[in-house]
Amino acid sequence: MRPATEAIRDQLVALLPRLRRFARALSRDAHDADDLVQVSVERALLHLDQLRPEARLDSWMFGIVRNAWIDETRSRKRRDNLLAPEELGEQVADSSSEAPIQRLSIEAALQRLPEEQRLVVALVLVEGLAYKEAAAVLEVPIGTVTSRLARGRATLEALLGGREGGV
Amino acid sequence: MSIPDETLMAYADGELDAAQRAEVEAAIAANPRLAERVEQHRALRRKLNAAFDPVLQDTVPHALIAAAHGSSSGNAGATAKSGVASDRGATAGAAAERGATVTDLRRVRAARAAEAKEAAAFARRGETPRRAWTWFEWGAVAASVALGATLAHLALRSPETSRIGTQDGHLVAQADLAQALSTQLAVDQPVDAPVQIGLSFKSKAGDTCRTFTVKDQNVLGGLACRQGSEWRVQVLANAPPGTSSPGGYKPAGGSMPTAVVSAVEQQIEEGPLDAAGEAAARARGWK
Repeated sequence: MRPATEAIRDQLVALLPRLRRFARALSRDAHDADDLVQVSVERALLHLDQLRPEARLDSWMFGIVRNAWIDETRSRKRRDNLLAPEELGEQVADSSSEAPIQRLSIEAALQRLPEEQRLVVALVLVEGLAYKEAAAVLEVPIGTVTSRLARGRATLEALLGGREGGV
Repeated sequence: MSIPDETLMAYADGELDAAQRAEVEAAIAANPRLAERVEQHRALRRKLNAAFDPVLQDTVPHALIAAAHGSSSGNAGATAKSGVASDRGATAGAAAERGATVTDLRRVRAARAAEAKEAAAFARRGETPRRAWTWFEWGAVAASVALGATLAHLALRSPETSRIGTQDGHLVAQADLAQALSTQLAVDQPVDAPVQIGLSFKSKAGDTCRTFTVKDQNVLGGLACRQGSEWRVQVLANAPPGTSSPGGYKPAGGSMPTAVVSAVEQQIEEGPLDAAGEAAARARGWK
């Protein structure tokens, strides 16, 4: 293909840890998160021609992960109507030692957020994107990012035991 | 002056321009409760960072790196094609070739499920599975990472004190680690015990498994499962240092490494054993 392809593949490899972190914030299961990254990378390589030269690879990839995740949650919802999976994370959280509780409970709390809020929280708070960048990834106005983020945060604070301030 | 919470949030996130910032700062100066609220917004971000940033330190699975290179995706469905695509010199047309490969999660997951099943069968026969995308492999990767970084100084000490050794190619707990795994109950362990037990559970393979942290030069977290008369260490990794958290929060026993938490999530059958279940399992010799 084009010589640029090789460089993009290398950049993709360098981006994998962040893609995994993003996927982990979206998906309740570490394996599912890696599957999500794998599928996204495969999709990206199939559509490299759609990557505009001025676009940032990370934003583009976050968008692809987001689309793959939404596709997956839609089809999973259909399946889950037949098979209700256990809330594994919460069970682990109930009786593990102190530190994992904190980590898992944040993950469990994230899982309770509506998809669109979870995406914004993952992009802005986990991945550190600016509101504007998150808006571009999600293809929504910046005001939408702000309001989703505010609602997502409020819900997380409620789920994590109120506004107790710093840890 | 009243400042909407969304504005305080945007201020905490560094999203305001100079004029808006000045306005918020003036309001904060007049009302300390607003400063508190800004700090709460920042604290939530820190919590999320503390929960997810450790993923960045994890070893990226080979399958993902291979996928990024457009080569083998580590599952049966794509094997025939990936043989061609794995030659990086021949990437011309590789993407087009892969166009025929259906790319969806169900395929990846189905392949993994098949491998996991096979791996479980291997495990029952006491053999070692070799395929990617199973927790066995995953655990081995995590363990080998630890081997370079931290296991070495545990394992290479004098044999009497080594907490982890190898037996028939498996990592097994020894010395006070084995002792603690066999005898210590999470509910009544001394807080200053060198080995702290986390949670105990029945694995999908039917073994009793326990997480632990060991305080050495570093705090290590791990997962061990009872097989026969020994504790096989499935995962061992450096616990994230509590001191690095921006809030200065330091968990008592060191927090459990992501690798261990993930392994537990993969292997756990139902839920963790409660105190009574743990004591009963000990009474049965962890069978």
